[in-house]
Amino acid sequence: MKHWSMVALLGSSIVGMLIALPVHAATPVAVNAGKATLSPENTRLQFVCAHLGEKPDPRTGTFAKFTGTMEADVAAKSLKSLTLDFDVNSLATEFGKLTTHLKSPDFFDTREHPKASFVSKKIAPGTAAGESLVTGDLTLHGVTKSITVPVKTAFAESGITLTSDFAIDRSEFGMKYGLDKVDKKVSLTVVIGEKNKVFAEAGK
Amino acid sequence: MFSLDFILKGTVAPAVAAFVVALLLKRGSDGSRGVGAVAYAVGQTLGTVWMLYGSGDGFPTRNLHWVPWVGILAAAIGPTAVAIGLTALERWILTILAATAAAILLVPQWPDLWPPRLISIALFVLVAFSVQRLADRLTQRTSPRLIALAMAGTALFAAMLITASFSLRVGEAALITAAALSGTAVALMIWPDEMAVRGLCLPYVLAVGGWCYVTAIEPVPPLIALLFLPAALLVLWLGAVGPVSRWTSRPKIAVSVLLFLLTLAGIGAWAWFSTEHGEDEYASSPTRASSIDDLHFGR
Repeated sequence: MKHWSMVALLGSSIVGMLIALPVHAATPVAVNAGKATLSPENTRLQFVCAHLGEKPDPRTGTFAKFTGTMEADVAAKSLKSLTLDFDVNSLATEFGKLTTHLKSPDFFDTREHPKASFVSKKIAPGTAAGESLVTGDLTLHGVTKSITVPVKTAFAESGITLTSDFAIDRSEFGMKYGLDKVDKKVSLTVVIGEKNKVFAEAGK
Repeated sequence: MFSLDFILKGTVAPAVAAFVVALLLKRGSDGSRGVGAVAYAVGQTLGTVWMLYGSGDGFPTRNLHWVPWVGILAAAIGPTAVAIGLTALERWILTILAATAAAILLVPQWPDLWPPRLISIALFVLVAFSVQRLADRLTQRTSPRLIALAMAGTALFAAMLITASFSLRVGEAALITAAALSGTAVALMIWPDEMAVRGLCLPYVLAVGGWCYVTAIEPVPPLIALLFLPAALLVLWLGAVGPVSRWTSRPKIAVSVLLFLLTLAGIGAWAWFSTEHGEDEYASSPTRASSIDDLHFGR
């Protein structure tokens, strides 16, 4: 009886550990001469916005084309800078009509504002080890605003990984369409060390 | 979909203003060729200034913003282009000049524009000139009421289609044009006037055609179907020439209206389905959660 209890306990522990493991483990991005080059091959970028009301139906999107640079001192385990440049026309969601609508003047107005960017200005240590607060200029829809985002970094011999979850208010960037129907809060996730998930409608 | 504020300022006000101006002009003047165009211009200006620029958007900065002003410019030239004293060549030159000015403002300078800008300008002028001339000739062969109704109907349909298939903001701006044309059309339905409708042809072509053009080229791939919409009223030629033209008045008008509505429906279906790349955006998402805070971004 005791034997079977031990087996069950061991089995449940293994299953528990497997469930607890992240689905997409981040692979450290190589840092050469203090710099890492970022692209959709090694950086996952995702934004989510929900409708207001009883059926939020959150919509997930990304940018299929972007480039960036991350500067870090691997020996000192410190992040130095982070820049990202997006091709807003590469915006992609799960739905073709939604992608077209997001590119229209109601939202991103990609014809008028085809580029977006983030340039870090200041990086301060966070409350826990491996955490930082990155302050920088986010340019979106032709509007530049300073934002501060929390990031978690992990340094390894082979490079660095970074994750950040934060939210912006789209109305502060001039995207004021349907504020009574679509949440003004847009949640963003950046994972450096994971390949970007691109939807079938990307680049249309 | 549309806010009450927009419905009042962007549709009711321009439509009523256009109707009242048409009524006043009709009663106060013998010259009628400017009635429709001036009424439309007043409605368009009121709606545009009150609704679009009242919000502080200011001076037009891109091709989309120029469409209402192109319509107002065309309203100044349209009645002159149908003046009785002018030769056919002079009418053509005025129409081409107005269409060229419109094309320069509406055809964007995008590096990926296809066809290239100069060719696009030439095509815009050619199509606008052709539709204007054919619509103008049509007013002399069929009921001016029918033409005015078709202009307003096409403008309304274009605005709704732009709203449904592309953008609410652009659709609202196009709806102001449609409202001003509708107010004018109602007045011209009550007091039909061939010359007033002829004077309205150029502003109709450049304003409604302008909205359809700037919207059609905006997305990738372009909404080609929209480019055909301003020419939909030319289907009324089928009731003006050929066997149908020999019918008595009521069946002829009924067939003409039916053909026109079928044309609108066909173009609308083409535009709508050409934007369908998959499931509708309002369908349930595979990433659906009960609230945005329930999302864990796959980690």
